[in-house]
Amino acid sequence: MHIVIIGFGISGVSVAKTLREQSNADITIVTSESRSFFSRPALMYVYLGKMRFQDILPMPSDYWEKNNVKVVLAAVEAIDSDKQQVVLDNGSILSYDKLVIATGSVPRSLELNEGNISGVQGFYSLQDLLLLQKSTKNIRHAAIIGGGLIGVELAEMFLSTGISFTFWIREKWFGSNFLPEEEAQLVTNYLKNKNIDIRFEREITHFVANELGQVTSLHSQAGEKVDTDYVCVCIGVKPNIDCLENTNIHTNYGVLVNTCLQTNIPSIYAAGDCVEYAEPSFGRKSVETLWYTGKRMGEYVGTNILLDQPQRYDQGIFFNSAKFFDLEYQIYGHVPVSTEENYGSVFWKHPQKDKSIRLVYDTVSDEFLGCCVLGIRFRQEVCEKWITEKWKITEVLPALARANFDSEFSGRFEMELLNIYNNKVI
Amino acid sequence: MISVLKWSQWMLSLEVKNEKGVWFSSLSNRGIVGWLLALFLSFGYITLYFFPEWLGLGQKGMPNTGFIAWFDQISIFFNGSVASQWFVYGFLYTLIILLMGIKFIIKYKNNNYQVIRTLSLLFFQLCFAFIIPEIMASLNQPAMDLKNMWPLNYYFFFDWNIKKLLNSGYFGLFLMFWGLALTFIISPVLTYFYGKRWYCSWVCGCGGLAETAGDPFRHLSDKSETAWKWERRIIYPVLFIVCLMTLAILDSFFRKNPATYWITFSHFKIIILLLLAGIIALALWNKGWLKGISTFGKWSIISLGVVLFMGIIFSWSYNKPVLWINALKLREWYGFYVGAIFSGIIGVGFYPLMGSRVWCRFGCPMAAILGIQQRFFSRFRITVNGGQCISCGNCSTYCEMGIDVRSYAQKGENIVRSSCVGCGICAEVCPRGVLKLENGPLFVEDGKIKF
Repeated sequence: MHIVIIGFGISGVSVAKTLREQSNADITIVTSESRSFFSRPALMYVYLGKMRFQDILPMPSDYWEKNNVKVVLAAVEAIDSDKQQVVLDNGSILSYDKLVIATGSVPRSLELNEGNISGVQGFYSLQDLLLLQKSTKNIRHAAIIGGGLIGVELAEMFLSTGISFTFWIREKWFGSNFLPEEEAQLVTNYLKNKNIDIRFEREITHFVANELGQVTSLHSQAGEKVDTDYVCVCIGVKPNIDCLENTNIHTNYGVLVNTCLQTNIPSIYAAGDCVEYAEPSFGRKSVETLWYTGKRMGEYVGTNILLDQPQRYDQGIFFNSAKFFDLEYQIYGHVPVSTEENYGSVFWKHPQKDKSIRLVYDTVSDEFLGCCVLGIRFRQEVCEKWITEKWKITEVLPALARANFDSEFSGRFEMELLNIYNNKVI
Repeated sequence: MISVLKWSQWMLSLEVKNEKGVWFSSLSNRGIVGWLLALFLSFGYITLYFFPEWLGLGQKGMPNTGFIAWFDQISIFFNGSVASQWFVYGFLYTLIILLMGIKFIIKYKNNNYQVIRTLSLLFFQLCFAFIIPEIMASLNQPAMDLKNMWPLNYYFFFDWNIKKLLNSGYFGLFLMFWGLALTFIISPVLTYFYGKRWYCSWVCGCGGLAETAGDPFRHLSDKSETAWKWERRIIYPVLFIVCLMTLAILDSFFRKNPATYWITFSHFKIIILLLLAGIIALALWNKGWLKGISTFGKWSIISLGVVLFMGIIFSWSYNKPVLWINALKLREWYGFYVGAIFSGIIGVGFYPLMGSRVWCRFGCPMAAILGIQQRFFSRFRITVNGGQCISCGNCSTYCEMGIDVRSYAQKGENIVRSSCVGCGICAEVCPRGVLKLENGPLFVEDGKIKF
């Protein structure tokens, strides 16, 4: 049996690793990015000089050779699902028995006039990093567009290398589309204290380039014109499904898959960012562009490929984490961004430091639904246990110390949350 | 005054820079500056150890000149006599730990574990290693670093040290018992509860220098499996040799003084044989001890033990020095190659080339013993927080002991490694809050949470 995996990110790698643990099938990974599997979220550290490229490779470089997995550096030109073949841009044709699409995502573009202007780019791939390193040498002023996780990474990169920049954000607060309002305010104030030039509630209307096609300035809807030599557009990502355009594989926003991560063609599976999942569970999105989702889906696909009766993909309890400069963020379970009916939350914020804890529960049943923390670490196993076993908020609060995962001698704030809850009830 | 201001300005600028760019700097990326510093430190050690007269140490009762003479007044203040090369060394060593320790504390001021741990290192270096021994000396008592224990303090069981302690009345006797208790009672108990970090990154002087002055070089430690292999190939033989040397010296001591003290030569013989037999029996009885070691390695260790046991009995029954070892030669050899060259010149001189823990990782016999305890009889481990790892590699890169932390973290496996000194930097640099140093009873075991 020959299994071809398109994509060498965490999803594709998880498929290959899981497969190899269970079978001796021939495995070929096709990638146009790099022969080495690297940790995508760590690319920023290479720019910062905190790590070299060889330090962000999660596995020994001889792993693939030792485990008899072929890695082919080429782009996919066409997929023929009838003949079960993949055509590569180097002219070779790969025949497969099972195919896995793990192509990840691509940065979304503003769809303005940036298409034919140089000095405007997204930050996602290794090629993007190399371009970024080259383009930001000796520039006078840069612009970051988009108040998301990549945007704040760019801000950290520019601040540490001393590049002056303006941070353009569409929303009223940083992160207001993935953080509840108090947390978004906290992070926003934290960023403002870094003396970053952040412009909120701004949309970019167009870019201006010189005769060489190099960007020179940008304009916002508020009438501002700012001279800038470099622009990084970080307004999110979308599934990378261009290579599936002329195939029989059904796509919508992403590759459509059933509950077993199988596409409409039974021999073709998909995993990771590029997937649009058929039946997301309560509170989850059908497209989840997360490292953790990619890893989990990859492990399921790696198992399902070998089964006659593929098993249902279990999304598990949602979790995610991020870091804004030195401010850490973790989320477990369901934490709604805006106030919704029947959701209660116990929210505590440190009076001086950048720390907060939010516990969310159902006000009717008192069931604990999830939590998010800033500047504090929680223990995943404990939070998951509380959510799956449907603990009540009144049971979670006295046990809260068990969730703490901060380093030793850190301050503890369990009593504060208990008091906030008690005052609320009265 | 101006230099103090400049220095504090420099420290604050380091704080803003944080870890960023360590691979861009010539000092911390084995560039020209790094190599020059390595050469300077190595030659500094060589001069201090072997050619102190170049630094101005007075020969044959002549007064000090030059560099060493600068420290005469300070030395007279502490112990009443002019500076020796060892006073200058201890003074500068302590000063560097203090200054770089303050810098370290500023850098990690938001992490209480790092702050408290570093304060502990500064306290033990300043008081235990520097001030208290100077006070002891000025009171005409045997001077001893109260935290420096056998086998790192390899001369504790040397005949001259034993004689000195036993001839110094109750105070000397106290020091004798304190030293024995440190090695055989206090250390195993603390290591059981807290792991080897209680010593290596909270108390030890070598650790003190590595954690403070060595911090900018921690990422230079080699993370490869080959390096790990060499680590085991070197550190355990050093431990073995230090044990042999101690045995040989005690043997010659008792041979010369068979019944002067309450422990006689025959007591000593029985104690040693029982100790060795006990270790062999434990190794045979508890298979968990040697898991992870190949069958060949396991049987080589056990047969080595048996050969030693027989050899000791034979040499004693023919009334020869134990195992026919020339104790004086071995002592000279160890003092020169391990004490001076390895722990001093390579241990510190190679900071800018191989990271800050070269001696602790490859050579220190104390670290070897504590490591064995940590691996098999300790509650300490680094806990991994579920599936949060994004395999970024910060933990591995900044591990000064060259442990590939990521390889465990990305599998969700807790880290129990004999070399881990528990500095806590992996947990600090992790961008996703995945790692935590813990000594409590196991919290999550086989996927189940214990409450």
